[in-house]
Amino acid sequence: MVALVSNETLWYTARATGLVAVVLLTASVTLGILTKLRWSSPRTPRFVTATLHKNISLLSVAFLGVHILTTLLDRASPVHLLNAIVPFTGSYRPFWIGMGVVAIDLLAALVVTSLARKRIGYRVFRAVHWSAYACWPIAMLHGLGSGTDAATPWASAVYVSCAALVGAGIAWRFTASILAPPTRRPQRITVT
Amino acid sequence: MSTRPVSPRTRQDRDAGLARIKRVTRWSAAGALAGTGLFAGLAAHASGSAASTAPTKTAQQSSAAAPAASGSSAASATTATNAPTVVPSTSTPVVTSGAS
Repeated sequence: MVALVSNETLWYTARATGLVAVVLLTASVTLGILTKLRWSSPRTPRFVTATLHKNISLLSVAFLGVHILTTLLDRASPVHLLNAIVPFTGSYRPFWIGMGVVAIDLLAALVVTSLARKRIGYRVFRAVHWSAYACWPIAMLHGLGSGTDAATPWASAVYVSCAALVGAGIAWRFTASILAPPTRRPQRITVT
Repeated sequence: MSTRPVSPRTRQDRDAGLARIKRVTRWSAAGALAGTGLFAGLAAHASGSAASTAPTKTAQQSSAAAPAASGSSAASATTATNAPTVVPSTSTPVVTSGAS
């Protein structure tokens, strides 16, 4: 594989997929907030938002996998398999790479608990899912701290847009929970 | 955008919703792939410009300062200081490794 693909290609792919994974993670967090807020529209019922949240999350995991794989396959990269699993073990930018590894580990826990939601129960699932709010900023810090392109205008625009989107979503989420009246929501009529 | 309740859902509405999920997921995957190509192109372009020299210089210093833990990392540290083919030979060497 390494022989077939040049180091430059792997290196550029690792950088690009890392950024795309952040964008997808941002979309996933935003959709998760919309799901939690029980937002819906005539064209977008709640099950659509919830399913898209799941699908985009899995897509972000896939791109994250490519990001890790290309980084490990790049022979010029000083990041090794152990460094990609256990945080803060590498010699190359240990803190910033370690932040990325923490985000990966959190995301892995999120995916596993989401897939095993029915078995582990909603309480545990919800407790672990709260770490999603930590996973996103940690991933952002990893990108800003170790990203080669972080200082470029286009990458900065991506990071600022992602931060603005999630910031607005979190603000909406907590504002809605504070301002929400204590009355019960109207019951939805379902057709079985 | 509001939190109003959804109107009674019929089978047709459900099918429309499922089709929407499929469509948006496919477009997201396609957009992500297109984004990867775009960002990779921009990264390749940025590697040849002065914009990437500041962060990569730090990376180079980190790589040089880091002790070689194994044979492969020693090789990595050596190759990490090599400039990509797109970088002019007169500019500061740009690291070709690390994570993004």
